[in-house]
Amino acid sequence: MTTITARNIVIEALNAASIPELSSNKGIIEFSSGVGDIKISSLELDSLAKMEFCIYIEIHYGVSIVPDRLDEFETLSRLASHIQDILDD
Amino acid sequence: MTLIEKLRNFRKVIPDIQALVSINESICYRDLSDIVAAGAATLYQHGIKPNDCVGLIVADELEHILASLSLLALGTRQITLPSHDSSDKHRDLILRSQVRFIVTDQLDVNNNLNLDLNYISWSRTNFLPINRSLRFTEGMLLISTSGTTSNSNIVPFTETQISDQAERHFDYSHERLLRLSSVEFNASKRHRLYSLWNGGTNVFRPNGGLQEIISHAISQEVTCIDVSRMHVSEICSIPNIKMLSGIKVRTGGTEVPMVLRNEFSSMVPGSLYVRYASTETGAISMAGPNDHNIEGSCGKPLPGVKVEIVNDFGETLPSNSIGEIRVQAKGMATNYLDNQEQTTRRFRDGWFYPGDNGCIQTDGNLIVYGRKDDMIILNGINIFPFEIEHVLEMHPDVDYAIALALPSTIHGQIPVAAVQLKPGSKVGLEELMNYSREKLALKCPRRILITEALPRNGQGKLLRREAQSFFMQKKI
Repeated sequence: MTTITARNIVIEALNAASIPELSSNKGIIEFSSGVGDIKISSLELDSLAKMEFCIYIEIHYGVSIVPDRLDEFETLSRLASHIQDILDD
Repeated sequence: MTLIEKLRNFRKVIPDIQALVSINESICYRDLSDIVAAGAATLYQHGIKPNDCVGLIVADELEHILASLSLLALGTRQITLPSHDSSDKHRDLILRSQVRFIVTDQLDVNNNLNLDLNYISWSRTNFLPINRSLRFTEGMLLISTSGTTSNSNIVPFTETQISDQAERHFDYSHERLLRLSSVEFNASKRHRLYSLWNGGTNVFRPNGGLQEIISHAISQEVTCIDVSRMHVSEICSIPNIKMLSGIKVRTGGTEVPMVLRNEFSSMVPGSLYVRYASTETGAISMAGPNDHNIEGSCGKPLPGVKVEIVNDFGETLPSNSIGEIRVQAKGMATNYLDNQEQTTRRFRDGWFYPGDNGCIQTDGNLIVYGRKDDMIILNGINIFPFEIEHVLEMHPDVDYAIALALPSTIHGQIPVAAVQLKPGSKVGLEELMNYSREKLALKCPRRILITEALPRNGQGKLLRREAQSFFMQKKI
């Protein structure tokens, strides 16, 4: 799995979590093309959004992530790498 | 009074009323009792004795009922081995019931089961004369459950229990009843026997499609047609549905969503009856034409049936509270034949627990929400599958939907759904997801799979376990 694919999975899941104005977020656009990164804390995800994000990843890709531990990844690129590592195993 | 005693009585009281009507033959009550007595005498001469266990493989519906009645008259224990079932299924039922004889109308039945069984051909042309000096003990029916949500159980019923169940259906006394599903399905067989106990008329369906069957029902002056939920959908599609006016259409269970009930009732007002029942108790309640006002409505309990809603501690809950349904009814089963664990779990303190959640409204109406075990718990949020299924089925392009729980070590269970679209529909997944999210919010399915056909058993009931397996395979 490529890094870009893993990053796009993260964006898919953020869309599923109904994060507002995601599509117009310049940082997201750069992130999806493989450059730039975004701090997870800057997205201000509430507990519901985190739950929906993690459910999406689990149900579509079989990767289990605890919603309360999302912030520990700090950035979306680290989160994408984590997903990529699991799926590549 | 047992069924066989009733038939002897009807021989004198209603001799000319039709008891059984097939395409080729009509048998009135005067002749029915004699045929049954001759059948019992013949089977006795072939070596079947009271208390022997007999497997019945008779596909012809009228002959099946005659054979079944003869076995009851002989005081045997009988179990139906549906001709459409596999050898493995037959073998399982035979061994568990300790069957020694097979009575069959199928000449090509071979003993490919490698079991020590006596095969007896059922044919009225070989009947011996009636021997009225023969008197036997009460017979017994062993009924296998459909096993839609768990492995099949075998439920023993004495003739007296069947008669007690039949008493709830006193309206059958003036009904001419046609059932779409074969007597080889246990629910269908029991209602045929209920009809006979009440002196009603059983009309058997011809071969052919729904249109032919309905035309036949009208020509035979059928007053009540019993169908599966799937048939209700099909009936709504036939062009001249209004010809059903004046005929009761009865179907079963919580699988009949309000959108379908309303659609049917708008086309044929005053006809639809929805029954809630279990193999172990027989019919529990019935929603009549004026009772289809709330999702899951199953009407008031039938005469002789008591229904309560209890919490996890077995305490009775007040009206309008949701909890587990328990039932007490004259003639209900008291145990499973060979499953002590399930017997202990389901039969407690004189009550039977069907395993469904529901509530009783202030007016006494029973609302059934679905299987307790099927409840989906997503991070502590309780979701009844029917909540998702009914919303999806309200979508104009969805024919059937089934909601399932995918296990998750983090979230408990994640609700997902599989849908079968209406023919010609082209609705996309994204639209369905958006629609269900809008209607259900947190309770929405997080993934929807579209399939050509949802898995069903022979009676048209959706098979949740198989759907679950199907979803798990398609998940990733």
